[in-house]
Amino acid sequence: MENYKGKSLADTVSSAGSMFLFLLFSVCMLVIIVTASFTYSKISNNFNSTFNTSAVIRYVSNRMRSADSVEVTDDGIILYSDGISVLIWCDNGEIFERSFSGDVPKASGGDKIFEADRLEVIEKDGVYEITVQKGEDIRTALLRGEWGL
Amino acid sequence: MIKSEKSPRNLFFVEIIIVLLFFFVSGAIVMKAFATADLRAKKSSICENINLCTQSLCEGYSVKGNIEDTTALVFGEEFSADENGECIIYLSSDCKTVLGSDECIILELRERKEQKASGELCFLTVTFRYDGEEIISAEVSSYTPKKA
Repeated sequence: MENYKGKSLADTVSSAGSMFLFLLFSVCMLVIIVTASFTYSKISNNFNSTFNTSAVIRYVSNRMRSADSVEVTDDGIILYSDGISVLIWCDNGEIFERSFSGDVPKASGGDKIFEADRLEVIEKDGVYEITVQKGEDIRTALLRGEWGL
Repeated sequence: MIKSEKSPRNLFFVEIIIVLLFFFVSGAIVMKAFATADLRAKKSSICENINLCTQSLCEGYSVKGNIEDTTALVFGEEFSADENGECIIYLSSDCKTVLGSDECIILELRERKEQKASGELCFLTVTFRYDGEEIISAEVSSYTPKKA
């Protein structure tokens, strides 16, 4: 009888201990998976914002530097060069570019170059302020406005 | 009879503890790797902001030619250099000015001026530090001709 009781208690403790340990294991694995997913999404968001808004700013800055003159219009920015000029504008969450020679074309039907919600270029105090927004990520950079003139 | 029934259970219990220990150690290593990856991603984003801020400071200084106007243009707040031509500004991770704290980006501006016959040649050294490490250092010059 004693043996039977002892065996039953040992069985219960062993089973409960095993179940508790298995539960602990499951919870820990769940925490690790959630952390992994959270970290991955964070890294992915950072990567996207870094290589989207910053890339747009760098691209537009370099295009503006390489142009002979720049005109900021309501449609977008016009970069005048010797041969072919370029119109860059933002529409419907995308940035487009259209090359032209002669009259300035309408801001439609260009090549899609980046995805961004807003591209704004403002001229103030001799510098251009380039602002690019995608989602909640907003980045701004300044560019000297008197190059090559 | 009792022995033969107890032994496998005890063995199973010990086995599960060993397996759990192994998984806990692996989990700790994985968590550390995640934390490092997260920190690196944050630092990468900060470096990108610093790069753009450096560009803005250099472009602004080449037009304005002094620290006060340049900082006003870039940060919307005027900062002055001390008698040695040095100025320290504390920035948040998105390169906005904040009051100094341990987790800030430290921006050091060092201005040097040379008087020339036809005007003033100014040099600005821009140095960004984060987490005790120098992230970027750049020098830009500006020339202001003498007014006739």
